[in-house]
Amino acid sequence: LDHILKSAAQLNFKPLVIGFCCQYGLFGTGALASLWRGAKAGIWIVPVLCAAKVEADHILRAFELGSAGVFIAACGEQCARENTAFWVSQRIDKVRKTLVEIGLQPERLQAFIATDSDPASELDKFTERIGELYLASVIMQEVKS
Amino acid sequence: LIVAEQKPLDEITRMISPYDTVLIIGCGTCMTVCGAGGEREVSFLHAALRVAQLKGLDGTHTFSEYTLKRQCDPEFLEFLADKVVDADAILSLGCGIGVQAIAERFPDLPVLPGVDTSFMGMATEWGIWDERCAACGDCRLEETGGICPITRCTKGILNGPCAGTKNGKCEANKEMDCAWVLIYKRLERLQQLEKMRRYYPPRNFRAVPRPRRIVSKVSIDAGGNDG
Repeated sequence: LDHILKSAAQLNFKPLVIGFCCQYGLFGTGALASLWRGAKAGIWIVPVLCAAKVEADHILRAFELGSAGVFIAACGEQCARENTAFWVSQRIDKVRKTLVEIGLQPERLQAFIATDSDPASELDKFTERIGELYLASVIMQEVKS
Repeated sequence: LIVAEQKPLDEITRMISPYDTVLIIGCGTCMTVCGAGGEREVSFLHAALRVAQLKGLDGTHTFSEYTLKRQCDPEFLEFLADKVVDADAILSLGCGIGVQAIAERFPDLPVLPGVDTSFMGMATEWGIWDERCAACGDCRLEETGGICPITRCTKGILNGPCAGTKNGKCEANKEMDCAWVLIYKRLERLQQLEKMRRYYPPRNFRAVPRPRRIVSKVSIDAGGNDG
């Protein structure tokens, strides 16, 4: 996984958004492929066997390697495993608290559960917000220098 | 088991700021189970400190991590001997006992606590821990149906509920069950209600001489039998 994240960081996407996506659920099969092919600028999808297996330190590792935003796409009730949404929300909450302590905005991390009304537009909103945050941080750096 | 909470990140960064090379040590027993300082938490803290360093650009610490099976046993501490050679400081995610055990074993190294050790308790459900034992050294659970009034009653009283109990809840916290109502119900179920009638004299609340020590080994007299 570290290898995949590193190769994502080498792409020089600005801002880079890394998404851990369940291979089977929402972004699974066709949707995942189309998202990938759609080449939504700056999004790098990491397919995982189960969204609940994305550990809190994987998420932080993505931020460490230069990602401006991270999302986890989990399948909802049709998940083959148990309580995926629960575990994902636990991780998200834990990492968000740490992000605040580090001084990053908690909305840089987002979970999409397949039961959400319109995941594609939600994702658009999310990337838009990350773009805004990224611009703001660039401007802040300019001002400082 | 011993329950603890991880310290806030800024407190940890403040503690480690004078040291360049920091070894983060987790504990594989209580701290793993209560999610405060196991292997996962160690690598999470490791990543968080790296990100914080990257973001703040202050200090250039080098971190390494290791998780012991148990920090409070001298046997396991031997595994650290070759790991601490390069370290300027040890950040222990063990309970207070683990921190002190490491400090005793490696007297030349500063040992920093990464968690706030809180109490002895159990998990009532995932992620919720409740205190169950105060380690008072004078167990009376036999008389109270296996429910400890010292720990679970806010006032720690010994002879039935106070006047503040209402609908089975405590007056200090409406969410919390009154320990003495629980004890009554349990004794009723066990058909041992006569235990409620017994009077327990006031406890001796004089300070317990600390530190306490239990010696379970016996010394073998020279020339005695070989056991």
